[in-house]
Amino acid sequence: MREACEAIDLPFSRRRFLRTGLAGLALGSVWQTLPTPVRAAQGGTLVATAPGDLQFDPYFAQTRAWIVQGQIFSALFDYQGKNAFAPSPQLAESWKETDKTLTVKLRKGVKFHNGRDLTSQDIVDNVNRAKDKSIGHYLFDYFDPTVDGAEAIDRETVKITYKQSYPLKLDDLTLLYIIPKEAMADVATKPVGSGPFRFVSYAPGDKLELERFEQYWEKGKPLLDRVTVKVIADDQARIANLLGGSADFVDTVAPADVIRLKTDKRVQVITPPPGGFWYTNVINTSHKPFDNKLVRQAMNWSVDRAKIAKLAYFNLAPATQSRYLPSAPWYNEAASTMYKFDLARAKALLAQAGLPSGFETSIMLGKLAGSKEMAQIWAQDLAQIGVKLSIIEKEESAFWDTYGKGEWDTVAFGLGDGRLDPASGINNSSPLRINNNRAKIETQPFFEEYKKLVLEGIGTTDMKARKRTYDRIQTIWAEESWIVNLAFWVIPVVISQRVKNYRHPVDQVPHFAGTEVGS
Amino acid sequence: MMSYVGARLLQAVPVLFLSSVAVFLFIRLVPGDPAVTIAGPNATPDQVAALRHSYQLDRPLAVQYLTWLGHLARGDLGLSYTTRRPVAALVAQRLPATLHLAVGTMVVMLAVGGPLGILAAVRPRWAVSRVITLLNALALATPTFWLGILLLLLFAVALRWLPPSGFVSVTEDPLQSIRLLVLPCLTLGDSGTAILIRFLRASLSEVMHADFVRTAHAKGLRERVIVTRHVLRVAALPVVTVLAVQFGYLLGGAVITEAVFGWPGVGRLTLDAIGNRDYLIVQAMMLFFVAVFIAVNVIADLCYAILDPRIRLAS
Repeated sequence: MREACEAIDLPFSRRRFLRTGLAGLALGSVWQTLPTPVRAAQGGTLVATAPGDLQFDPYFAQTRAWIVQGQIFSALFDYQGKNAFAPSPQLAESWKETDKTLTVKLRKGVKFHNGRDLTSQDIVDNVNRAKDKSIGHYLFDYFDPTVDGAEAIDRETVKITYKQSYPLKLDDLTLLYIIPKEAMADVATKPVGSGPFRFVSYAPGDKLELERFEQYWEKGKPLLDRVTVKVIADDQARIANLLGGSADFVDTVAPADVIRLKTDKRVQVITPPPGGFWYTNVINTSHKPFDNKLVRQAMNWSVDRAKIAKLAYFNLAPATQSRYLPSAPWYNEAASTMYKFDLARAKALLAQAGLPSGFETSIMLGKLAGSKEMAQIWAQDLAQIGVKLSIIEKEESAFWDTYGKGEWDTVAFGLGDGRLDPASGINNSSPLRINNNRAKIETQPFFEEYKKLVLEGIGTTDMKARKRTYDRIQTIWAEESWIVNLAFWVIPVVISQRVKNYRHPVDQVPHFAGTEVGS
Repeated sequence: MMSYVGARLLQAVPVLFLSSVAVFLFIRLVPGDPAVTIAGPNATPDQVAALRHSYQLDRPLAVQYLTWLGHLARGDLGLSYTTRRPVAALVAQRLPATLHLAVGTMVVMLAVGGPLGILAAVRPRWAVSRVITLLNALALATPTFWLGILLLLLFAVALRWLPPSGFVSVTEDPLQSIRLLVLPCLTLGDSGTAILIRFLRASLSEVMHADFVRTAHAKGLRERVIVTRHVLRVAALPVVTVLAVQFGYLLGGAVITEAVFGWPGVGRLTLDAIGNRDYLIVQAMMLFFVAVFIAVNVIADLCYAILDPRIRLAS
């Protein structure tokens, strides 16, 4: 057993790996942090906006829950520490990790909004809820296959036992926002947590009111008296509210608007570090002619990533073939530089695949900003080698329904879960995972090797072995080309000038505990 | 009159029943699945199946419909799939905002459209009437989303005269409520006012040439008296229909205006519910819209009888 929060006793441990590799990455990233004020100013109301009705149960992975999660709830770990890419303790005070167990000592003096103290039994209750399939939440997929069970050792210590050696123990726990058992039944309407703000009222379609939780465990925080979240569906209206001084925080801003707002002195554009999300085109390997890897490779050679990054994503999203930044420890250079824009090479591969005149195919788009422009650019380039790419736009529900049924050739996606460990990125990505893979890679010859590697990667905490495994996995991704990475998807937020001390984390979950507002 | 109202209400029962069947089936014909939407893109088929089971979406359609109808008869509209809140509470929460918007917009339409429509009809050759006609065409051609954003940028962002978004009940803070209503009502009232002017002008122009008007002129009555006491009463009949239909639409929700001004009305509720395939909300709202139109039409018929005693409703 090793003490994760103290000295590292392994020559190449996961934590050292993250500290050495990712600390440099964090420093070199484009993460913009606002100047720290000399003295924190207490009070005031921060008005955030949301594009649609809010959902309060943090077990459901929807973007409309993001704005709520970090305010009302706390988890054992989060991404608010100095290293932007590694989980930091939140409700956890210390922890001990073995291959198959994680023992966490809870922070003292943590209270829920209903006045009750946090105990280790609450962690057990939440792990059990996460493993409850009947609720239909997304955490089931994280916790049920991996966690054997949790037990309360004493009032402040909980031990989580895993089914096998598992490297993502802390990463997964950043998602497990702790709800007191007595509040679980009503969490969707009356959320109770131990976060910096507590629920006051919610008028659906109108606004959410939160107020400072005086007994919050972090001394001196939160600085704000209240947080209001106004529901404004129209993108331009949200921006107009910000510019008009009626709102302080707007997320989900389209790249074209971000460019415009960057030069507006009334607001600040805050960019999270890249690396947690990607713009990707996913190819359905069960649809002809994409069952032939030469055709998929031809598609990869035909992508002009630089042009797409410039014209579709307005240079806000750095072009990439890899899921990892060159400074990241997982980066495999050979696999990440395998392709460049070369239509002649693409055409030759199509000829080799028996399609010298090209073929007709389609790309399905949802509401991901920039994806239509991307598809138009790609369609123009593909037309030069005889491939006719039709663009099919669908509204969100129909998009996911069609995607789930596999009735698509290629789909434009924003992939990622804000976590950098490849195991997390694979497990939580429907086109990359080995079970219920939506790109139908189980139909391909490479699948058995890929499956073995994925299981190896998730089944050990030996970081050297994992690096070797993920190097090979990245080579398979590149060679088999069912995932055509385009750019790092960076999702900025735009805030008013009066907001101080806000930084946007890699997992996109806003936290306003340390944020203040001026006059 | 009471027997007429009673008969119309009885007629409404089969209409509502057929509407409920149609809405129930049509929303399920639209591609999409609430369980998939809620579970998210990475959900496994098992997760989706679990959600479908918890929402009873895996039961036969007839069973789902009869269950819903049974609950409806007891006044239970069910729980929203996405928010897990009672649908009845969600609708009740949104109705006041919609009512504010509908009444405010009707006030704008009548206050602006009424006088301008009469003026354009009574003095068709005046320059101001020609300007009204021109502006009328412009107002009809102006897209609501564009006008809303334009008004928002001008009055809320640039001039900062009015708040850009939000809703406060008139009973809670009358002044702030009116300030918040101005921009959405102007946006929404734009095309309605133009329609009202057009109908009023056409209807008045026709009546102005009727025999009884000539008689009134021959009797030496002043034009103002002729217009207000005789012409308007007759010309108002088609206008009442237009107003009733407009009011029905407004109560049905103004999706774009609500989106632009962050207005928590039933329009957004319905649109979001359609987007999320939140069937129970969609079904409840569609039935509500049908009921509103039936009620508004009955009221319009009653207005006919009051305006023109020759119309006998019972017959």
